Amino acid sequence: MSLLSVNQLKKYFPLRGRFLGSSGYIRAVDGVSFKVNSGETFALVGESGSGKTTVGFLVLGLLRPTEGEVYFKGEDLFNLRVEEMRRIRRSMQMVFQDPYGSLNPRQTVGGMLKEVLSFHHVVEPDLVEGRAEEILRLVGLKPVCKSRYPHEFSGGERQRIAIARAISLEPELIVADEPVSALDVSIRGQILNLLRELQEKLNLAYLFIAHDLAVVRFISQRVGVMYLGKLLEVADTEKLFKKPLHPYTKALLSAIPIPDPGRRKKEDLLSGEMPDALGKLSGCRFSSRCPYVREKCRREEPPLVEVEEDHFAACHLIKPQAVDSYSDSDSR
Amino acid sequence: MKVLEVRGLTTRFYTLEGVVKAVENVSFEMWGGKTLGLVGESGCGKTVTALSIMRLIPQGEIVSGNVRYKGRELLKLPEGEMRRIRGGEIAMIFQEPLLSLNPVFTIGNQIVEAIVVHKRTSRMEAESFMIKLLELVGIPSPREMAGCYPHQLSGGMRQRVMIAMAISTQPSVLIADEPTTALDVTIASQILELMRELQSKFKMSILLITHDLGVIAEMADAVAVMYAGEIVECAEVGHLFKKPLHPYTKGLLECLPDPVRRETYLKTIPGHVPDLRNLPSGCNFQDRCPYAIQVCKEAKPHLVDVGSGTFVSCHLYQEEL
Repeated sequence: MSLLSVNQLKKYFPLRGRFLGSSGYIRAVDGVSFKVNSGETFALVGESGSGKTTVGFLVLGLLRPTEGEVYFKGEDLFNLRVEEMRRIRRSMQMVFQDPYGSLNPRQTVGGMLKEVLSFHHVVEPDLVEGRAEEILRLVGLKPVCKSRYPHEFSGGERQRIAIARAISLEPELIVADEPVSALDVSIRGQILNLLRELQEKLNLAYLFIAHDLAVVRFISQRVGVMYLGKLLEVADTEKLFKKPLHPYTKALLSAIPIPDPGRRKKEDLLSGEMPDALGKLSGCRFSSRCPYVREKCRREEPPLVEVEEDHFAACHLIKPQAVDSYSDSDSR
Repeated sequence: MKVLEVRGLTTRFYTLEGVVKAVENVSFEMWGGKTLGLVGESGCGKTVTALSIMRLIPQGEIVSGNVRYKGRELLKLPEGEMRRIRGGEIAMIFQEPLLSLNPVFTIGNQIVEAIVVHKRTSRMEAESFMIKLLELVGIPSPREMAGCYPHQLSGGMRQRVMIAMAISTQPSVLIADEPTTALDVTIASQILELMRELQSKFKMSILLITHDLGVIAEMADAVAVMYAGEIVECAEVGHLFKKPLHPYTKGLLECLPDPVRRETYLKTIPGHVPDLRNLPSGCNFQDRCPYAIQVCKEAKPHLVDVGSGTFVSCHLYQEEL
C-alpha cells in the first residue's frame, strides 16, 4: 500500500468579481492523481502557477479540496475528526522555500525544538533537552546552536533548522516546497545531500516540489510534470530524463541552461506563455503552446494513460504500447 | 574594440557594524559585441560592481579605481554628463522588472519618456519608435499592449518591456543583472534568445550578471568569477568550464547537479562565505579551500596572467611565476 495516495484532486479558488459576486474560478489544481510510497521521493515539477504548491497544501490538509481524496496510510484525510487529524499531522511535515519566513524570529532554535517535542509528547519531559541536541546533530548543526536565534544563522543553516523542526516529530512524509531554490549553489548541494542522508536514516518519503530539473533529477525516484493544474507526464526520474514523451516535458528539458559551453544549443524554443487558469479551458492544457498541436488537441482533453510500464503521459499524439489506462483516468 | 575598461574598482559601505568591503580591486574589460559574464553567489559584489559603473551608489563610496568608457573616465564625469551616459549609452535591466517599472504609468508611456529624454525627439516620433521597439522585443499586438500597466503583464512580458526600454537609446553596453532569475525556465530561455538576437543586431556589449553557471555557459564569451568582493578568475568561457583553475571555480562547477548524468552524492564547498565586514588576512577563500597552504593565510593573492587569456588570483598559480 502506498504511503500517500492522491486521487482526482481538484482545488478551485473562487474569484471575487470586479463589483459584486463571484466571476468564476481559478482552477489551481484540476484533477491530479499520484502515489508516493514510503521511503521514496516523488517530485512535482512545473512552472510557477502550475499548481504544485497547492497540491502540497492539499496533501497536508492545509486546504480543503474542491473534489477528490487524499489517503495517508489508508486514511481519508478529509473525513477525519479534528483529533485524528492532529495525530496524523505528526507524520506529515513541511519544509518551505524561505526558512527565514517560516521560523519564529523571537524564539531560540532550542526553544522551538523543545516546544514541538513537549507539545506532542514525543519523549519524556526530562529527555526533551537531549533529544533536541540529537536532532540538531542529525541535521549537521552543533548543539550550542540551540541557544541562538534564527537571524544569527546563514541561509543554509536556517534551512537545516527548518528541516530539524520537520523531523523532530518523526514524520513519515515531508512535503518540501522548493527547499533549495533560495540557496546559493555551493550551499544547495549541502542541503540536498542532507535530505538524502536523512531519507536513508529515517526512512522518510518526500513530496519534493521544485522547478529546477537538475535538482529533481538528483533527489527523486519518480517525477510528475505539472502544467496548469494537471499532470502531463509521470515516470521514473531516469526514464523521464532519458526519454521524455510529452512535448511539454521535452521543451522543459531542452530549456535548462546546461553548464557546458560546448553544448550550447539553438534548437526550437517553446513560444508563448502559460495561459492563466481562469475560465473554461477546453482541450489539452498545453495546446496553446504545443508545436505539434492538432485539431483534436484543441477539442478534446487527453487522459493520462500508461504509455509504457510505469510511464504515464497525457497527449493525443502518443500511442500507448500497452493500452491499459491509468486507474481512474482523467476522462470526464 | 574595447568599450569599457574597469581597473581597480573598490566600493565600500560604511555601516554601524563596520566597513563592508563590497567590491575590492575589481578589474575587467568589455569588448564590442561580446558578452562578459559576471558570476558568483549572493553577496559577492556582482550587483555593486554594476551599480558602481553606473555611479549609483548613494549609500556607499567608490573609494578608488577607474571606469573607462570609450576613452572617457566615468568616475570623474560631471553628474550632468553621467546622466546622459546612464540609460543612454550604458543601459541596465534588473532581476525584478515589476520593481523597475512605474506602476501608475502605462508601459508605452514609460518607454516614450526614455526616448524623449535621451534622443530629444518629438513625442509623435517617439511613440511610433516605441511601437517598433515593442515589436522588436516580441510583444504581441504592441499597439494594444502599449496601453497596459505593468501589473497587467506577465513576468516574461515585463522583462521584454525592460529590454525594449533599455535598447531604446541604442546603448553600447547593456548591463543585465540576473535578467532571468525570476522567470520560469521556458520563459527564461526565450529572454536569453532575445538578448542574443538584439546583441547581434545592435553589436552591444553585454555585462551579464548571474549566479547560474548554466546561463553563463549559454551566453557568455568571457567570464569573471567573483568571490567575497573580488574577482578570483577571469577567462574565456570554454577555458573556464573545461579547465577551471581557481579552487573556488572548481568547487562551483563540481557542485552543480549534472542534468545529463545522475550522481549519488553531490560535491559541495564546505563552510560559507566570509563576512565582508570582517575578512581574513590573506586569501578570502582560505577557510573553504581544500588546497590551502601557509602562504594563503598570510598574503593576499593577486590576479595574474597565466596565459591564453586566463587570469587567476590564487597562490597556487603565483608560485610558478
